[in-house]
Amino acid sequence: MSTKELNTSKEIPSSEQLEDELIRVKYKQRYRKLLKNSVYALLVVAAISVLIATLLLPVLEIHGNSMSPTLENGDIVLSIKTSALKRGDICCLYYNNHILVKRVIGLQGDVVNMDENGNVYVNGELLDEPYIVEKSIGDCDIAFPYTVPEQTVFVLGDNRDTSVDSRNSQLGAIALDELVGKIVFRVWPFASFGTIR
Amino acid sequence: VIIKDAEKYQKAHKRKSIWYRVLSVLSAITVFCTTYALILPAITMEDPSPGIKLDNVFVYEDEEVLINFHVSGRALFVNEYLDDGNSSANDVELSVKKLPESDYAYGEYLEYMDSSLDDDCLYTLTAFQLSFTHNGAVLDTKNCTVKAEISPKDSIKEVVNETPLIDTKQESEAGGTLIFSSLDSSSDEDDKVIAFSALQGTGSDISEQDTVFIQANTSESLPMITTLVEGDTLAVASYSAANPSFTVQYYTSLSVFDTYTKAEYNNMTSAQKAMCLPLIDTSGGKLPTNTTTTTSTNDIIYVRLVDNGTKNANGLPEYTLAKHTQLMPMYTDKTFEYIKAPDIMYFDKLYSNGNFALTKILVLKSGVDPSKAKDSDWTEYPADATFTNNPSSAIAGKRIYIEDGAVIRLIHTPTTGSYTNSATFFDYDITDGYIYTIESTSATYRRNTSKQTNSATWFANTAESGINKFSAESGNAKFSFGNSNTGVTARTATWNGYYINQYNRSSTYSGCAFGMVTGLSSNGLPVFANGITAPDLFSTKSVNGKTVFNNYSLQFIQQGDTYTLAYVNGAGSYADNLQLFSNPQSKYSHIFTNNFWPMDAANTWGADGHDLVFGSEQYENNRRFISTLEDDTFPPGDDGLDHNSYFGMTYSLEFEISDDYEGPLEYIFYGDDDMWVFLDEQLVCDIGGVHSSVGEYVNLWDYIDKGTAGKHTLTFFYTERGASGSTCYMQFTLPSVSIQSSQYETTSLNIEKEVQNSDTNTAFDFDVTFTDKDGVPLINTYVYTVYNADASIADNGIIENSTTRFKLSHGQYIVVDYLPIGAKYTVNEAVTPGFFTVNTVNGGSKTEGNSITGTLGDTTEKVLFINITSAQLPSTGGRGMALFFIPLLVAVIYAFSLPIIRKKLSVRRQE
Repeated sequence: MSTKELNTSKEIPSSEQLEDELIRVKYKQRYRKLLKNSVYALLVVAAISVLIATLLLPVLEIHGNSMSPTLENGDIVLSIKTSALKRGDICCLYYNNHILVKRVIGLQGDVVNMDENGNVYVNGELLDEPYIVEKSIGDCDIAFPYTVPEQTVFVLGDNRDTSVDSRNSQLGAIALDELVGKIVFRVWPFASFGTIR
Repeated sequence: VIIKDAEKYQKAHKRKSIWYRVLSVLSAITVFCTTYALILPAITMEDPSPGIKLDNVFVYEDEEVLINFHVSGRALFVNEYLDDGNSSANDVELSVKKLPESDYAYGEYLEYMDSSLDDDCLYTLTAFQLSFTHNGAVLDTKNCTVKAEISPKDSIKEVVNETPLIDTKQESEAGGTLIFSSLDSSSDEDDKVIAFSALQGTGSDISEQDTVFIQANTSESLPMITTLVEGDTLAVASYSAANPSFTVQYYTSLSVFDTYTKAEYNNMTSAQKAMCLPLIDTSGGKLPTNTTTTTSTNDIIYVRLVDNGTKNANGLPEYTLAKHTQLMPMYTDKTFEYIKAPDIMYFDKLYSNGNFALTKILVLKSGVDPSKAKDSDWTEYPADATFTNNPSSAIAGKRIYIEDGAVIRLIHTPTTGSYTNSATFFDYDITDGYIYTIESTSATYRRNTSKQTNSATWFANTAESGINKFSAESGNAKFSFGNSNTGVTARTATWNGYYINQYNRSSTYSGCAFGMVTGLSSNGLPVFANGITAPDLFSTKSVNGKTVFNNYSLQFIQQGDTYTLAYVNGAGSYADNLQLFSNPQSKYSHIFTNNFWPMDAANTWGADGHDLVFGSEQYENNRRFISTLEDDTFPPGDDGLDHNSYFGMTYSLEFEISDDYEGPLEYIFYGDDDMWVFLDEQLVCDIGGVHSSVGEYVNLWDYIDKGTAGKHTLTFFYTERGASGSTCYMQFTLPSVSIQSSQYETTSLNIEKEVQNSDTNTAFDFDVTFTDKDGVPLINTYVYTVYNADASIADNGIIENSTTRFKLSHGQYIVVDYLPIGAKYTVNEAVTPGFFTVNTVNGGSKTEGNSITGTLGDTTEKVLFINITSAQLPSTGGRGMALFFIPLLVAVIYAFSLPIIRKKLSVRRQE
């Protein structure tokens, strides 16, 4: 017997019928509530992920090979938003509406020098650069020794032969204002999952 | 029922668990998708150009040449599909192939050589074809710079030297090199040279890029030549060439005074005579004497005054000495060999002399005797013409063919500038340093000189006072200041019967007393003749009545090597425009003066312990002197104005002449009173005594041997001893005056604009300001030129009042020349929205900022302003974080607070 039949027949429903109806209504309420909560939860999760990804840990996909072998084309990395960088950190920075990835070599006031063989000297001391496969003077049109101006950092790519970086006057030293953050973690490919140095 | 309820709850729990799992998976997917959507592209920025970046040196060697090819730039693969992006420059190879004579390119080089050399010229020609490959793949190097350093071997020289002279053209082949030879008409082997050339180009564009010469039949090796290889072929040629000797004459078009002899003067009208100034002509080393030089002698020449078209501060016309232009030889003619002096810079002695500019080149027509040449015998060429020893290479009006025995006359014109020489001035007092209220020297009526006023009558004590306060040696004439009209005791002093302190009336020339000084002492001061005792006039030692001023200098107008005194720096209007004459007042039309009153600017006159000023006609009766001889008014000035009379000046300058200099070497003075000039230690100009203006012309060649190089010093001593009027006109013509301004003592500023990553049409506004080392704005006018990136001129103009504004676009640069070394500059770039600016000086470190200040050194200062578009959020960031941030934050807050709110509501409902 259906409810409609009950209504049309105007008979008093039995207690079982009422119980069934109560269960149905409660289920409907629970279902709506759960659905609503689920949507809310998903929205909150999405919002949190957006905030983290944009404000704290920008996720970057590497294009190009000038940071090779440290970072290869297609790598996806996490960075931490900060402008407190030290020598050797891999940084990302704004340049002409793009984000560049380079390694910090000289901080403001440092005297950076490079010889013909690509050896890098900072304040007169040869820089130990285990992350480099082949040293090269590369694309260089600035005069060495180069004193890093105030409020700037001197950056180089790890692939010294092909990298366009602070050695090229087109880029030059990078103003601290232009720095986005420091790259710390690789999430893709999984084979290289882990921290980046 | 309990079991039933338990089953119900178990079902509900399962459903809940499933929902939680689904929700977790959905959350993970959401996080992943959201994060993935937010991944930002980060570029590592590498040189994106295709091909291979080269910075290599390739060596080619055969039996004739050794060539180092320096290749830099990016070589592209002709077949771009062979470019895998990882090609190494180390795998690039250069293939050099000698072209056979049948090759078309070889034929073009051959045709060029045939057309450019004489028919009787021997030459060898070798052409190469270059190709660069990478693992067999051909590379296109048109974007590379290929510089070839070509070192010829002696075999090339021997081929030219040893080739038999025959009368028909023949061919032989030696490793791809064709040797053409024919009859050499030059029988004089000494005149023959071997030329070694690098050729480049195609068709009619073939040209000799670099050529060196050596004497034929010598053991000397041909030097290396260099050339840029533009295409894929390169040719080298060696040939016998003429080595003509030619003679160079150095002439300058000088502005010299119109001078007239006594006879010419006598034929003038009285009006013309009135505008003439007489000069004692000491030519021949004849200094004037008290017995021989009179107005009747022929030792007088005249110069003529002409209206300058200007008026002085009193509104009276100013006059200048009439001049005319005269072509004069500056150096003895010199003979050069073409191979040692192939261009103007090698044989123009005045090439680097900033005082002259080469304006034209005259070449004497062949066969004409230079000593008899008429104007029409010379062919005129512009100053930028070049020279060749090859008649076929001559270009009418541009490239001059030099044949053996050619005579070239270089015509220069003087450039104008200024020259400053330090000088020491002396203010002499003739009073006791006080003024008196009545005609008495009693201490009761003594007052400090600073109390002098125009309205009251004051008296000064001139009896044996000030500089005149000393005792002459027994029997000697006492040298004193004050003329005959200030009550000075020694005014009547005579030496050998000649008045030395007032107009010498003993029938000498214009009242002068000649011969009062005889030479220079060991400390560089004039030595007075026996019979004269003078105070220490010109040293910086402290002497009664003398105040030394070292803060003045003399500024001369420099025109070529001629310097005319124009200003006393530090004296302002009291000694300016000294190159011009005027009448002191219209009523004195017979007097010409340049109003030389430098000590009017001194702080001594009218000061306590010093003289008062006098000369004013208006207050003549209020300025009086008291002496033991007489009491009277001080004499009025010719111009009717007060002046600080009685002063002296000394300065010296060095000049150097070369053994071949034969240009003018002279000095002219016109003025009063004493003027003694010494060349080294020899007196060359002597105008002693107190007198009206007297002129003297000195030809310094009378005292210097032509053909003898050396440094010389001219030392000048001048006094103004007579009041009333003061004139000091002087001009000297000397080569290589020390501290002379020339091109090499100036420097340039180069300001360049570079715009990165933006449109290249934006013009950026700049202003530049120049000051001297002390921050005083530069007063001279400077020329600037704005160049485009391709070195074509975009704009030019002048910088007046030390500053100017200009615009620069990407690649443009401005050059300001002839700036003084040590000057400071400040360049400001106006802020352009959307750009930030960094600057760098001389390629040094970059500094962010729109302004830069620096000091000019002795080399060109290069300032580069780089504009870079201001960084913005990456494109993936959209319009900014605010749009995302606020609603997301609200959502998060709501999400976290929702359970709490619901719990509270539930509690409330239960209540």
